[in-house]
Amino acid sequence: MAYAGLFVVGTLIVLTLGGGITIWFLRHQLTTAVEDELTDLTRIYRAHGLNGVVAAVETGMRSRGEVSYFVGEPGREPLAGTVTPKAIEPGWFDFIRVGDDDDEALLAKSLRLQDDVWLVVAIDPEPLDDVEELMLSGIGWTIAIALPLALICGSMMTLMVLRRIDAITETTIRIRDGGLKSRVPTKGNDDEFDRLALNINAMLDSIQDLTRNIQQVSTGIAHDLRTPLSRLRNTLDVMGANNGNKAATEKMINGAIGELEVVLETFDALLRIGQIDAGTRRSNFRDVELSALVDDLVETYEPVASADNKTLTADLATDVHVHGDRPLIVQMLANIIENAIEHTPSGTTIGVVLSKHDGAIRVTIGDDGPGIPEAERDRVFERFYRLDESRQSNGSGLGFSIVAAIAKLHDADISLGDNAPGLRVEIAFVVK
Amino acid sequence: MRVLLIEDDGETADFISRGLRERGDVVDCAATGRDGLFLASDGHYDVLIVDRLLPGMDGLNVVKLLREADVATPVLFLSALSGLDDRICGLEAGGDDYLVKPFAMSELVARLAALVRRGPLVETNARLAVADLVLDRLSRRVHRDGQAVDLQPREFRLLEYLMLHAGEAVTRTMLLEHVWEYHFEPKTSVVETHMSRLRSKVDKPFDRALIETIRGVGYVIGEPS
Repeated sequence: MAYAGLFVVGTLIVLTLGGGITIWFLRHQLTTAVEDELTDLTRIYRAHGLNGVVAAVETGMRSRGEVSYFVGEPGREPLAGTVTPKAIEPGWFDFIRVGDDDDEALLAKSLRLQDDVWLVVAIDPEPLDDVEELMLSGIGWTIAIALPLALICGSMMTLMVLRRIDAITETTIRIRDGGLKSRVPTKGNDDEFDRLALNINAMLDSIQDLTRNIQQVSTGIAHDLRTPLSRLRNTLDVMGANNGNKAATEKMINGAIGELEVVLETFDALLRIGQIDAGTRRSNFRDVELSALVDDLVETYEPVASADNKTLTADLATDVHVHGDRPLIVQMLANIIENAIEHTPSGTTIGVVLSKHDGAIRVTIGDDGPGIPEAERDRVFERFYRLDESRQSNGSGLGFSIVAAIAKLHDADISLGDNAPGLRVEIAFVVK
Repeated sequence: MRVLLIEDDGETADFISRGLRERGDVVDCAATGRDGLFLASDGHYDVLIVDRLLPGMDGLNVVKLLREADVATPVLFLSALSGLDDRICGLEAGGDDYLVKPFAMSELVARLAALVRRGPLVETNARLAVADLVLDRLSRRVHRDGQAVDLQPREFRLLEYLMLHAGEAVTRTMLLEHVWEYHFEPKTSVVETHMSRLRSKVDKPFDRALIETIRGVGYVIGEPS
């Protein structure tokens, strides 16, 4: 509303200012014309006397149409000239012609030539009046049309803006009250409000993802800790009621320590993921010779695989380097290799391939085991996610989360694919 | 041996000092970094066990100040912080080993023994021998009873580490850290598998086994002296 008022006041100021300047300019032109004539005629008077002036005026020599003259005594017939004034005042004055009323006064300047004889040069100030009229009517129209129009448009715009801001406010209130699913409505016309709404919605999406992740992690922690902790509790109960059989007690203590190891391992993994996610380890990045690192891992795990009746093969490109954190890369690849060894049936062949093509460095670990259904592949990276059949197996369910966190720290893309048959894990490092 | 334990948590301090005293060690305890620094500056301890997070003065600073004062007593850091950075910080401050809480008493004992017995002389020995087993660190050859034993590089390093600590218990974690430089807990039996391969070459063809498994602790080569 205030903006509509401001708009109208602004228009008026512009009109008045513009009109005023025009009037001042026109008036200056008219007075200059009068002054010039008066000067010229004075010069003629000095040279040729009164008769010269009369002659000059009478012959129309000086007549240009827009300027009128009067030479003579006030109240008498003019000696020369086209107009007769009712009265003459010295200097600038309003020239009212005999028989006219005040309304049509001319702009005039007088000069006394001799005794009671005056020379008057006058000009019609009509252009001035026209502009004045135009300006006044402009102001009038502005007030009559622009003001209501501005007010209506302004109110409508204000209403529109307010409605959209209200929609955002309402959404934020709903979210504050616990409805993180709410989204700001969009119109799809890509205006400023739509862009704001889209950004707010994108922000809400990532907040929702984060909270979902936290919920998932909390549930995961609760599940992963509850099982060993309740087993531990049961063990302690039984030990409390035990009749003192030393061998049984020792067995139970070992069991209890085992359960606690699981709890501690889970915490350790969570802390490590947190540390990796924080990204502070980037400062430790060095040149890492990936070829030697992978070769070393294969050498370490080949006997482990073969003890489990599996085969670990390697096809490694030489002299491949990446910029990264050596211990973390070792842990990442070891986790994937161990996962392949642990979750495949005996007789499986696991292949580790390191390749470098057009600057793209890839480590691929594939097996010909049962693989992972396509729908579940992405979920493997979620914290505490376990494939149903591996629920029973040990480990914290955080292995792949650590792998994903380490890959992310290195700006490496990790993907799970079909090895036809089996699972293929591929890590692609970006070479800068 | 004489041990100074600088640890602010009473229960942990009790657990450690009781365990060490049972073995016949002499243990002094300090609950703050300042007290610990005062006691340790004498330099009459065989080994220091320093908690990383201490009230008043941080464990790292205690060790830094000791090293600046030319106290060379070996230091084992204890910490609830398991990050790699924390470990590196500890070693850079002048610590000799780093053990993450919680730990088994056997792990602590094995590491302390390794720290105290580790003299510069042993490290530079080019020829290691236990009974009739000889390992040449320069030519990287191993002989037992006069016969050459052909080892893979990893098996060689494993045996080398065991022989450097002959007569001392070596834990699985110590082997992972020093032979593999792995600072995470593998899910598969990496150490056991390689150890069994090593044994099949070093012990199996001979009458007497030199590498022994100590249940709940780790491995040892040679007679504990």
